[in-house]
Amino acid sequence: MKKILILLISTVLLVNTGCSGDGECHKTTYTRFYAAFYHTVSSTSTLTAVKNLSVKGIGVDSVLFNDTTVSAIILPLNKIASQSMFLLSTASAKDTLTVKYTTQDYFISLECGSIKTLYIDTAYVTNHYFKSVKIVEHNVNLTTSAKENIQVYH
Amino acid sequence: MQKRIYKFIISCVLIVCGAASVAAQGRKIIEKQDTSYHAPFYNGFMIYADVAPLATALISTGEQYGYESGIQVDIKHKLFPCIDLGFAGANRTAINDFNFKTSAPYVRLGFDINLMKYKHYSQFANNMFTAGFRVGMSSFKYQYNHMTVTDDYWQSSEELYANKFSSTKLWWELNVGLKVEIAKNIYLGWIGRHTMLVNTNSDGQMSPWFIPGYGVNKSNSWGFSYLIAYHF
Repeated sequence: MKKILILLISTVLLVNTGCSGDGECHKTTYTRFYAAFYHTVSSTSTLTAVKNLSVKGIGVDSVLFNDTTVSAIILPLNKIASQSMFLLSTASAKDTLTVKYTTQDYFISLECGSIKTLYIDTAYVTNHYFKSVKIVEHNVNLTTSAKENIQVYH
Repeated sequence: MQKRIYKFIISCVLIVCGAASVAAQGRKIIEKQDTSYHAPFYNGFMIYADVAPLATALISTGEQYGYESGIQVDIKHKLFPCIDLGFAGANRTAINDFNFKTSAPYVRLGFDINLMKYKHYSQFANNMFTAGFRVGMSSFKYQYNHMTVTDDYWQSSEELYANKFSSTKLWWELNVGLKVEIAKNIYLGWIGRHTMLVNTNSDGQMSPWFIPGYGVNKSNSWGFSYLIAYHF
C-alpha cells in the first residue's frame, strides 16, 4: 500500500502532458518594402521629402498616402502576384512606379501560417516628376532591417 | 625420543591451529557471500505498455493520440536493454483554421540502468529506480490544410501546400524512471524524459507541427510515460 502511495504521489508530481500552446501566433508575420525619395544636385544625392504626395495601388480604390509630405514610405507589394504598380501623384505631375519581383513561400508555424518573401528584380518609374529608381536592397523578408529597398529620384 | 614426541605434538598443534584459522576465514568468506547479492546474468524480460498517451488524448480532445509498448531484458538486475514500438498522430486546427494532420509508427532503442543496490533478492523484486538513454526515429508524412496567404490591400489570396510532405526525424532521450511491483510480476511505473531532436529544420523551411514518438516539434522537450508491465 505504501509503495502504491509513493508511486501515485510521485506520478502526480511529474505529470506532464506536453502543452501544445494557446493556438495563437506570437511571431512577426509581415515584411516591409521601403521606398525613399532622393534629390540630386551636382552629383550629390540627398534624402529629400516630396510635398503634396498621394499614393495608391493601380486597380485598387484604397489610397495609401493622401496629399502628404514624406521622405520615405512603406508600400504593400502584392504577395500573390509577380509585380505591383503604384500611382504617385504630386501637385505638378503623375507617375507610375512599377516593381517586379519573385516570391517564395516562407513557413513560420501552424499558428502563424506561411508568408511570402520577395526578391526585387527590377523597378522603374515613368519620367515625369520622378526621374529614376535605384534598387539598394533586393530582399524583402523577415530578417532584412534595411530602411530602404529602392531610392526614387526626383 | 621425548624430543621427537614434543616436536610431533607441537607440529600437530600448529597444523590444527592453522587449519582452524583457514576454516574460520573460510566461514567469514562464506558469510560475506551470503550477505551480498549476486544476480545471475539473465533474469527474464519485461513487457510494458505506456498508458500516458490515453490521458493525453483525453485531455487534448483527440488532438494528439498514440499507443506505445515495449520489451526490456533484465541483465543482472542492473542493465535493461529495451526496444519501444509505438504509433502516434495529431490532428490540430489553430485559431486561424489552419489544420495539421499526421500519423505514423515510431521506434526507440536504448537501455536503462538500475541505480538501486540490493543486499537481498527480495529488495529487488519490489522496486527499481532507473536512469536511461534512448535513440528514437520516425519516418512519416504530414499535411497542412486550409493554409492561405492573404493580401488585404490587393484583395487576393492563395492556398498553399496542397500536397503531403515527407519527413524522417531522429532524436535522443535521457530519462529517469521508477517501477514498483504491485502484485507478483506486475509492475506500475513512470518515466520522465528529456528529448532532443538530432535533425531540425531551418527558418522558413517547411516543418511538421508534431513528430510521432517525439511530440510537438521543438528542438528539445520534456515528456512523460506511465507504464504497466509484466515480468516474465
